[in-house]
Amino acid sequence: MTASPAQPIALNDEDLTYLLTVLRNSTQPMTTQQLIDALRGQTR
Amino acid sequence: MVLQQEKQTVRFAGSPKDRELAARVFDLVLIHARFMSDTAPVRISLASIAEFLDQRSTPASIDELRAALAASPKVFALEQIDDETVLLTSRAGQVPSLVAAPSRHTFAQRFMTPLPKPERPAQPVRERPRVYPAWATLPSILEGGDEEEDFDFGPELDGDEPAAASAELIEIVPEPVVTETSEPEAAVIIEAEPAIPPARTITLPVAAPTDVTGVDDLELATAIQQRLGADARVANFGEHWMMEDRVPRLSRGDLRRLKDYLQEREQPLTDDDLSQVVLGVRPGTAEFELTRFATNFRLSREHREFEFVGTTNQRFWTTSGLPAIGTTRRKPNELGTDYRFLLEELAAEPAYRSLPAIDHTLTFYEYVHGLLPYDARLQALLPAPLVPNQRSAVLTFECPQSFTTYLVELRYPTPNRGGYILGLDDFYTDHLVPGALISISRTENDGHYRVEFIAESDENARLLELDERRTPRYVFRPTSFRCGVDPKTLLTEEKFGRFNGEKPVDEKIRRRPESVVAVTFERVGDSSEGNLSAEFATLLAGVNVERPISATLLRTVLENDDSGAFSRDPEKEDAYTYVPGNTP
Repeated sequence: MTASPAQPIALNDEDLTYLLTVLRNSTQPMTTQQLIDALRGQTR
Repeated sequence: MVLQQEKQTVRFAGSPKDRELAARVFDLVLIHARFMSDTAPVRISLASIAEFLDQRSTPASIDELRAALAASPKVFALEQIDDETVLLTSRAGQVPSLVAAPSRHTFAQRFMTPLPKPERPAQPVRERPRVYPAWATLPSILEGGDEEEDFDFGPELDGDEPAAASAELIEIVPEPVVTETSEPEAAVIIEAEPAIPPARTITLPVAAPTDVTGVDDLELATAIQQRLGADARVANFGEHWMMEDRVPRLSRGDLRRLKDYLQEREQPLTDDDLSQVVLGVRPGTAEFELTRFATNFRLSREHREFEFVGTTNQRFWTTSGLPAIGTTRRKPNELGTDYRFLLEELAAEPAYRSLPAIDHTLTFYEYVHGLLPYDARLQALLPAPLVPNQRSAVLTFECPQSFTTYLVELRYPTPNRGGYILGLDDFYTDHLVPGALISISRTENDGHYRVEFIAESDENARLLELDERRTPRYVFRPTSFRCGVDPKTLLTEEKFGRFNGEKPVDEKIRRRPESVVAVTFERVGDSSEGNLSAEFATLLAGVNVERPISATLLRTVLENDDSGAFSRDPEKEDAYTYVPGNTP
């Protein structure tokens, strides 16, 4: 799925579950940039 | 109860020599597997058995062993593992069964193929107990009437017919008994063999993760904000995220101590201060980040007691009862109303912190109140509100020339009031005069800014001031200043002398920019053929004595005047004329 510039990207349930897992495994607050990096890592 | 397990005797087959050899091997098996259960499979290679027997001076060859063990197939079995013959038996003297018992009902299977929920027969609706209608109204109770109609005591019996009535009852009673007994039996028979519906299989759609390779960070941040921000399980403050149940909670006592400390210090404090001093967590320790996030997140939920007035890098918190920052000459609402015109000059889609620095010429109004207008340029220099509905942000303005840092408050615009910065009274009074040029530049910290003026040698002039001792009046007093100024806007007695002794205009006139411009023409204009003429810069400085007016607004007032009071002066460059008495 490739995002087009006209339509903003929306995260699906799989992404949400992944982000929640990442947050759950962290003992410190995470920044938005860290979550973005985690999402990119998931795709790779 | 203690039970003693009797050991069963193992019988071996074959020749006496084979039986004797088999018995020795079995003794060896019992020693080898002394800590194993009776039915556990025991494996020993024939080569190691032969070696053991050889050490015990009772040697037996591999072939002899093979023959002796093969003679007792119920006790021993031989396996070939990696080109090596291995004896298989158990402590019970039986060849163990290696086939796993069929598992008909496993835990995993129960989860994967759940049985359907047993369907219960529909429960009959219970009749709701109701008050008897006769009791519903007070008069019926007090009057005691209609009792004979409302209460049903059954058929009235006359004294002449007791035998007949009792006979009727006897006849009626058995009938329902017969019908009631027959129906439940039929129901029981039907329910005895319920048809088991097939097991439900739930198929979940396989969702692939979103491909974000071509998406930039800004768009991804927005998507994360939208998705996680709406999830109650996730705690969010600014740029930080965490699972809500992992964020430490603040007790009532913690909240009370935080509030007391803010009130004791009499100024907004950062989350760093609060975490260190009140909650006792040292910076640099593992829990400091967590405590700071917990402070921010938990306080953001206490709307009644605490208010966030910070930025991303300087997270200030305030509470009720703290002294206001800045001027007390005018109320915040009045200041916001004065700056209402700025709402039309702000960018529709502001680019916050896009400008590195701005220059500004100080007006009389700003000097008196210690203000800066939150116009489009200042908006592009300062940060956006960090949290929704944030009304103000406390910033620090550092003046490197005086080694002083000022705590100022940025009031964000509301739908009907303009924004402004207040709290610069001391900076202005100590270093500047109206008409001074200042520069404000940003730093890496979005809550900290550098404010500078142009240092000049001492200069003396009689400058405009507002004398508020009795009735407020404008006066000129000798003033010494050492800052760079714009000569066109410096309020000297030579240029603005007609202000001397004037009172500030009424609030009714102040509200209308056109009226203030007309009054200013009379104070600063040069008389020319019955009209008053003034340069735009002079007019701008004079108008801003009474109320804030931007150059844009002033230009609009002068250019778009339908009454004909204002017009361009054709004889001067960038000057306007005003017809006295013709108030727009």
